[in-house]
Amino acid sequence: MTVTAGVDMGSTATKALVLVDGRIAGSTARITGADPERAGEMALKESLDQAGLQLEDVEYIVATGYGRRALELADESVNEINANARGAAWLGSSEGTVRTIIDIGGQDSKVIALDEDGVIADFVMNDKCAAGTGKFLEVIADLLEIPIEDLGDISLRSTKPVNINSTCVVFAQSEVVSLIARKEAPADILAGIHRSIASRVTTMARRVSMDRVVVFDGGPAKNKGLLAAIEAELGHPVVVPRHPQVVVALGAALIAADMLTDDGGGA
Amino acid sequence: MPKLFGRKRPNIRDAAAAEVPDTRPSAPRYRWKGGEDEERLDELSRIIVGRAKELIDHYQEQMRKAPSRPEAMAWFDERARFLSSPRIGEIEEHKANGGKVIGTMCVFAPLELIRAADAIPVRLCSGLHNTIATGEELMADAGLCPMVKSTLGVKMTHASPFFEASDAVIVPMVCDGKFKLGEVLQDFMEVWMVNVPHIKDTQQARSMWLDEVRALQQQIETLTGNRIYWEELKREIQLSLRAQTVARRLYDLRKADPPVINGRDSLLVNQTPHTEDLSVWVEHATVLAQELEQRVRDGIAVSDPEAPRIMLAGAPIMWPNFKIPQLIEESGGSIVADELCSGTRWLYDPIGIDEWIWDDMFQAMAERYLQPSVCPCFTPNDPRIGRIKQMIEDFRVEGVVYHVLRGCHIYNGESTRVKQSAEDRGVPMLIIETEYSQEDTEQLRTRVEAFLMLVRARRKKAAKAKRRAFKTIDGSEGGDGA
Repeated sequence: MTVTAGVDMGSTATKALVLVDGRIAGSTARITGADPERAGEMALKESLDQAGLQLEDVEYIVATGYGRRALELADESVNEINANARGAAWLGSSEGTVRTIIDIGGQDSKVIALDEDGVIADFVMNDKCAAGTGKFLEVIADLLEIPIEDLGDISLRSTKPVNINSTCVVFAQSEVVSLIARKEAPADILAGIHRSIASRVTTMARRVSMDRVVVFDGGPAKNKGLLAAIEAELGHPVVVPRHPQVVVALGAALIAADMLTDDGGGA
Repeated sequence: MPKLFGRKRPNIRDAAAAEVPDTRPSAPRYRWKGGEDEERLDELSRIIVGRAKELIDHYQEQMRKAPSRPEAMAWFDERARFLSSPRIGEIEEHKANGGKVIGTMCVFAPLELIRAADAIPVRLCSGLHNTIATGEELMADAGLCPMVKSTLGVKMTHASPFFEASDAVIVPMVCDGKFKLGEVLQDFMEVWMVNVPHIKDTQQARSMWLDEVRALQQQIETLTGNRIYWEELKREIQLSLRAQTVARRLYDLRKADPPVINGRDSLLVNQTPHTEDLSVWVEHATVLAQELEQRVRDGIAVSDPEAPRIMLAGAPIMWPNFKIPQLIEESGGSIVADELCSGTRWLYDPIGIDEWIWDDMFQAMAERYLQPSVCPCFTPNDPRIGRIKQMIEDFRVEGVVYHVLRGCHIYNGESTRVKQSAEDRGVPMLIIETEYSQEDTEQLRTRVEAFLMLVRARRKKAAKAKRRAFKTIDGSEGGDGA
């Protein structure tokens, strides 16, 4: 039995995934908070509990994400772009070979283009700015007093999405405040917000890849309204993995398994 | 116009030379309250100088970590201390003897003319991060190039001894930032704005540029009180040619595989002439070149011989703003080439003299600053693309990192085209848009690391493809292996 684990130490959420003989045995996500190392350890422990395993059973742990150097438990750390590519390519798509990944995280969003062998061909990331990221959704959810997991369903009820002109989170926030004051329906505001994020990330996507097999992952991929907005912008369907938030952790666990078996390719 | 060969000739504008009007405004155009409080200014200056020293220490320490760094780098290290370089004393002595110092920006000031008048040229484009906030007090544009704001801030806070020593500064009007920077600087010092034509290969552009350089000659002569004669100009052109020859030698040495010198060290070596005596630089650069040639013979690599070979392109990277080159090399890349105006760009097209007569010399010297320049302030700028392609080939570049200073629209504007032409040659390119501050270092690290992995993955793939092709040719195992 080969047990490996991937821990994705994100800016907002920390994710862990346990792989047993190439099958996913457990996975969790939790808030990163002020102590990323503890968040990483807890996430790993919870995933191991799900798999009915102990820390001693794990042969190799790979950390990834912004906080990857904070996790002392890890044997190795890898770049999250590579982990993401590995995870998404492994999951695959019924539409064909995965060639484009749209990943929206807590503090950045990225688009990764893969070649026919699953090797990274190009990538872009948003600038150091929260527009088009999960943080943006959080701020708006707060403002509208709607739980973040309900954003998608509510926005899908929109009949007349508003136009959000600001791409800056701070400005968009004040724009939303005035929309609320004008008594625009929350559904319409949310649909407008989703449209604005979708337009931003699809512009990035077009810069690196025009391929139609697109995987959308990261926590915000659970938001059906945002997914619909991205599909509308791209003009074709987009694949969302069953657990989009742990794709990067999955990639890290797969890379951990690679490292056990070969020279540690990963890419 | 008489052409006198072989002996001193009077300048053609003897009479006019004495009558350059002082164009400085009598009252400041920009009021800066912070400048009135001298105590606060002193304090600010001390803080900035202290921080700059820390930054320089930090990067120098990192650069010394290279497993087998060339010994000849020691002189460049000492000189790069910048705010405590022995060069400052030399310049002070020169000034005490009545000598003049002329500041320059970009790579358009005719250095040969400055030196021919016994003045010292110093390039003032700044790489200091913590003068930006002060610069913003007069140029409050958040989207403006950090180099422009940093340079202004340096003058406002008197942080650089080289800036303080400058009796005048030559500011080329190449981009919006430099344009207005020159204007604001006029409240602090004598500024000579130079009109750079943006379409450069027409007859009218050539003649306008010649006139601009002639006007500069006049300004230099007036300031220094030294008329520039044939002999001095020839001497200085020959010095520039000697410097370019050794710089070209160093440039060619970077083609070595494995690399014999780090990209950060090369960048530093190419920036040392900004403030140094060029003839002294030539001596030390020659020693470095000899050491590196020996390394090539002995096969000594400066770092990991398998490191991805990276080319640095885009907006200028001025010491000590070495954030990007540091990130690339500490993430395992090796910068084997750069096309930066703060790097190797001054090498291109040495002054081509047909005959050593005044008019030919002057014209060749002046044109050398305009025609071969591939600054994106020019249009069309096809030669830059061609040059980058050539460098990719010559240096066996495996990936290009394109540096954009936020607000530098002309470099940003050419990035897509450069990326496409690099990709046409099978070389990936990463565009990094950033400022001087360190706050985005970790985000950038993610990108740089992923980019280097991408380059390595491509290399593996190419090797595999080659092996397959070899098998097919070989015939023995052909067919199914592919």
